[in-house]
Amino acid sequence: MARVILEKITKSFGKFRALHDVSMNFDEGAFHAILGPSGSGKTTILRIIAGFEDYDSGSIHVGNESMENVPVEKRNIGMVFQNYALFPNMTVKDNVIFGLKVRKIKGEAAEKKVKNALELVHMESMSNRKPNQLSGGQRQRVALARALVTSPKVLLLDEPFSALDKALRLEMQIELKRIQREVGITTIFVTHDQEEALTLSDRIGILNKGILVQEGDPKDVYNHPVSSFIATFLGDSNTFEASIDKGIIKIDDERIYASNLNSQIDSKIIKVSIRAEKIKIFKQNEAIEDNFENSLNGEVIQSLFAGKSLTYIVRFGRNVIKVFQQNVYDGILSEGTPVKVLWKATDTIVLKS
Amino acid sequence: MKLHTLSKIYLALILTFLYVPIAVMILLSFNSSKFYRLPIDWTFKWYELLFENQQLIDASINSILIAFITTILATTIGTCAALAFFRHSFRGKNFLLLLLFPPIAIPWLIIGTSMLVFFFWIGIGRGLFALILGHVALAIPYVIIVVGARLKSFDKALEESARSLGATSFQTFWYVTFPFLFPGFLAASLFVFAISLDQFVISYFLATPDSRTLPVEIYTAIRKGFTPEINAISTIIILVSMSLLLIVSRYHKFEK
Repeated sequence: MARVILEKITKSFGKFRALHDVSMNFDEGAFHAILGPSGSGKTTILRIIAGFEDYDSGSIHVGNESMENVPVEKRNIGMVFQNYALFPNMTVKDNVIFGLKVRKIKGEAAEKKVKNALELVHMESMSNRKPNQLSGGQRQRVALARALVTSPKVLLLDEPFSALDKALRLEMQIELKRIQREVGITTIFVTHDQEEALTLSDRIGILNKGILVQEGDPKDVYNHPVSSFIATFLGDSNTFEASIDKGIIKIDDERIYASNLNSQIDSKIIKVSIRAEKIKIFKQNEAIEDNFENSLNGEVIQSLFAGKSLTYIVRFGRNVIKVFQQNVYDGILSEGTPVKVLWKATDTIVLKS
Repeated sequence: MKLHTLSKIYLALILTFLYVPIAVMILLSFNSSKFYRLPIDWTFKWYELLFENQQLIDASINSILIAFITTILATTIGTCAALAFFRHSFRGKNFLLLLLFPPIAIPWLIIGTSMLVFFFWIGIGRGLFALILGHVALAIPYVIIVVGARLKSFDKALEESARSLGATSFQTFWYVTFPFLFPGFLAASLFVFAISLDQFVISYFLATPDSRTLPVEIYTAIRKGFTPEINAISTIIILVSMSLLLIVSRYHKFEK
């Protein structure tokens, strides 16, 4: 177990700048997510930590040890690959024992470690199967056991759930979290799925075009995005161009209230962002019980039913706003209904344009 | 349904034209008549004569020896080349890859002539060594293509995961890469063995009277007058090579 410190890592592939000046701390025993769209450099970070890729400048420390000039096989970092990369010619047991065999750990000591690792992932009954006789979820369990059997300092996961269907993905997420807690290993996982990152991780780092744009507690990052990129990338946000004059914000002519105005913003043109799930929607003639600072009149132009939730697209003035609603009411607002959309001033996110 | 019948007939025709001549030859090797008179009068005479025919036996030994050495050299060199071609990038790689194909397309007659001229020019001349050199050179492109095809479907993450689990590059090759390549390696070996054993044109140019391979010897013998001993030795070769293939396919599935 060890913490991982990346300092000012820069990496280019030819003319393409994959990472630029990325510094990140991964705390001991914590579950970290690196989130970003494809091509953002997130997998490159993982490959640099594992030692598969060189970097142009900067430094990496695992524990107190610099990783410079330490080859992959001497790093003792466990990695689970996107497609699991199980050795097809070996049984489950042989796959798991591989890391011990190449370290010349044999006999009873090795057998015991393999047994423990397979028990940890609930795969002890399948130890004689070949990888092609396993389901996707089982392969992932084996890949985890194989990565953990050598007691690595850090566990790296590269898009571990992307090959699984939705139900299995949820099950494996819960399993991964349990295993991570049980082992207590520093875990870094890379994903493009924001929900996955928010659910699993203690800390989250967001990359865009090779730059670390925000890092922190998942709730903080979600509720206080620092840029419109993050606001739209994480969750569903409505982002509008707005003007600001003497603290008064307007979208076109509609006044918008925001409680935490960022004092650093000095331009007249800004962006405001409101999460779709923070907006309430009512018919215009309905009585409203709560206190919402923001209120806009509009008209439903589209309503989408998705079982547990409803999505409304509402037009107000020249703009449209997306609203999520839990499917708790009887009626669904039909298209063309005049409505009011409401949200609190604390839910207005003010961003630089 | 109609198409099904048609394709069965098609298959039957192919098999007929492929195997009937071979079957005829095998049958005639047991016929005592030198002039293929029917009905067959069963005999082992030609086999007995064959074992007294030192020239044919020597040629067989030469052929098998050359095929073995060629197989070992060509598959080793070819596999290394395939690894270089399909795993690394270097300057001139595409040009070199392109150069692999002409030797397959150029008529053997021309390759044989040019090898003969070249080997004389650099002082190797003809003989066993020249034959092996020629066969190896001829076989390497096939090995690169066969092993390379297998290598193309190799998932590099397998090697990376072996490395991250603590394996050195040698351990990684031995435990992970080679087992994956093995079917391709085996197929290439059989292929090379067959190419070498079968090779006539180039061998004809490069063989000296005491380093004749079997095809060259058979050709020379036919020119002097056909004897059913040739049917007999051909039958033995067919049986040996077919059982070799059957053993391999029994113990190794070619599909993944």
